[in-house]
Amino acid sequence: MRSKVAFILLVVLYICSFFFRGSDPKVELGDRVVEGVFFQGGYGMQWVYDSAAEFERAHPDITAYVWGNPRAWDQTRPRFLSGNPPDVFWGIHNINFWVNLNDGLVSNLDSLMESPAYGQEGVKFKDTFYEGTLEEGQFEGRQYFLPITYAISGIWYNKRMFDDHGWTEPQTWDEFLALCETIKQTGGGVAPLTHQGKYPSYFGMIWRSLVYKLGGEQLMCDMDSLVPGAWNRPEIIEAGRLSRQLYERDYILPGTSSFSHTEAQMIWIQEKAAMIPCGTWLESEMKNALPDDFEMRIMPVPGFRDGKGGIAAIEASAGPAFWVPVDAAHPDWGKEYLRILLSKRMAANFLGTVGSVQPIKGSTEGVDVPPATQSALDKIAAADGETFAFRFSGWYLELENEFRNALGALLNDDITPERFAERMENMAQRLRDDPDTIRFSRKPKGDGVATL
Amino acid sequence: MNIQTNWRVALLFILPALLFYVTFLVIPYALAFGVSFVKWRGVTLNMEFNGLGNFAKMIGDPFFWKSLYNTVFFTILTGLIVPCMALYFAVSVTRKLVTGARFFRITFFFPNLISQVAIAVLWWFALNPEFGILSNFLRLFGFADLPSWLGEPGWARAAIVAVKVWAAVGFYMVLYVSAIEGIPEDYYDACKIDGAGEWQSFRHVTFPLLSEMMKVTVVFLLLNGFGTFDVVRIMTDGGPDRATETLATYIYENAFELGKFGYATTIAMTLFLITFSLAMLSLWIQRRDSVEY
Repeated sequence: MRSKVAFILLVVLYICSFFFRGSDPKVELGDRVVEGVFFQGGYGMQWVYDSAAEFERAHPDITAYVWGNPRAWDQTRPRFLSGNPPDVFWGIHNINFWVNLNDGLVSNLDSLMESPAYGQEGVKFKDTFYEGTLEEGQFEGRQYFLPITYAISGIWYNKRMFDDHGWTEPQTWDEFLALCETIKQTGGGVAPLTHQGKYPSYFGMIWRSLVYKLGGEQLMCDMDSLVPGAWNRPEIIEAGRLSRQLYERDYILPGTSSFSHTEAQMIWIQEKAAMIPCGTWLESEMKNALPDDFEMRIMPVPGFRDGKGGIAAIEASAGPAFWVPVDAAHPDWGKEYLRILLSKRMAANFLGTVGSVQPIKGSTEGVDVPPATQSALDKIAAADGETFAFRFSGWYLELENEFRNALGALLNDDITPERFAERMENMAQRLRDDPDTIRFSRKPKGDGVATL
Repeated sequence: MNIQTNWRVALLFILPALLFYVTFLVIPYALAFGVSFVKWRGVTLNMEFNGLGNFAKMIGDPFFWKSLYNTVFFTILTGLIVPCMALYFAVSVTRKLVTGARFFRITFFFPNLISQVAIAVLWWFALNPEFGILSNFLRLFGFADLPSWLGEPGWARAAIVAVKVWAAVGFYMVLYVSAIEGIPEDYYDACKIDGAGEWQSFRHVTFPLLSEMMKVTVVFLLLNGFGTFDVVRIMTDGGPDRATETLATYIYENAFELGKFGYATTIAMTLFLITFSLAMLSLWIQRRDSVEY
């Protein structure tokens, strides 16, 4: 008897499954739908919903269906495989933009760049971006990807702590070391510096700045272009030696090497360390943990009076983010979505809701820029616009992985600075020898040209 | 009923399971075997035949060898430590050598009720050098210069082994407990009459009668060890400097981070061949007659 009941129940369940299937919201919206899929992370989703509303205001006959997920790329990969991708896309985890471009998945955006800017008379869309920020999304001089933010990276410090002790921002590396010594001598359970040790790429911000300030733009371009010997130059070794020196002099909080990014940032907020390297997303990432009276300020990684890169130069990047898939049902609507999403009005809204700057001219006008972000913008002004952005991490993921591992090992004192440079040069050689690696090259003065 | 109908009836019962097995296991494995010979980035259906190129690349890839070495290291260590500890605990609780045996049985089994992911997160917190329970506990006893457990290669490897042992030992203890309880009490009585102590009864009765079970569990542990992924992925992400990278995490890196699905599948096929051989070994060990009381 019992088994009969169970059997009937199963049959009923099976039949029900035909009637109560989950429905696809996009299909229910009809044919005139533009679909956007976005990475859902520290920036939240409100800026996406706001841009969708703006799109629908501009195009009342089209519905904007947008959704987000922290694993957006992993979730939509099967749709790319089956030729049914969304109309506009932003993924971060596990995505390799350049491999996707090489596989013919990415629409060319040149026509969009030439079109008029949304909401601004007589201005082309491409002219609304900060100088030099579009190049990170170009290949062979043509536009494929657009940036989401203008991320400025450097060393953050606790302003109140600095004010209380009368510490000031150092300009040169020697002054920085002197400051670290002062903080160390002050004691009180405060270490001069901590970093996100589990992910050594964060310390990479300090290392990259040291390399740029020692070797200048030419060296940076040579490293990005995998010029033979570039990764083994004396500046690379010197930057490694200076990085390691911070550990040798006990300027780094003990235990740092195993901190995740949130742990290290939390520990910095708890005033166990005075400084931490990070990008301008730091404030929004930690906003739930920040005490009301906590004030953070950024400074560029200090430089060298005789260095080839300016002392005040600061790392600022507008890396690839948004793109329009080739196989999208409505690629033109996807491009239109981007024109609106990256308009001056929506960029101002982004700054207001998220607190981060998008590389759109005039988007900071009339908006309350958070003091932390403002300090980063001030640093760019103070650097006379001398910003730099290494490209190898996005161009060659294997090189980036080896960079993280070798830098972690260097900081851990497992390898010497010379061995670090040798490992990096070996990996560069492996990539030069690998016929499957897409090669890029870059020249100084920001005229980066990517070639196969 | 003749043989013919018997055959048909048998087929009727076998078919659903067989279809399921072929569709979701045999076909994907066969496809994966094919993918290991192509260059494929996993985002389009464009595949380029590469012959044995992926295998040649694998042999020349120092990171592959490092992750293979680590995998073998973790597997052998857990394969040695877990059975010994599990046996020790099993004998202690069944031979009533400790008080509160029931309590220990349940407590040791407890980690098996938690998912591997939760275990990894738990230990990741516990091993935090700043606010983790381990460092703070050691500080109580005056240890000051404590290492960054998951940040230094040697300690990170030790930590992975320790967590895997902690998570597995309870399960194997329960297996041994049931095997020991299956040994007739008469044998032990006979030992007592002959004047044997607890150690001698273990050496001459418990251990020989458990050896079959132990062999099988060691093979299980080996199979398990080669698939080590979740604990490593969460606790160290293969780091520092690939000190804890396993084959499984390296496959993941190649497929999902570097977009090299073809190459990743080549490594996966190699891993499959290793575990398949171990599974064959397990069958060969079990083929011998088991002890009957």
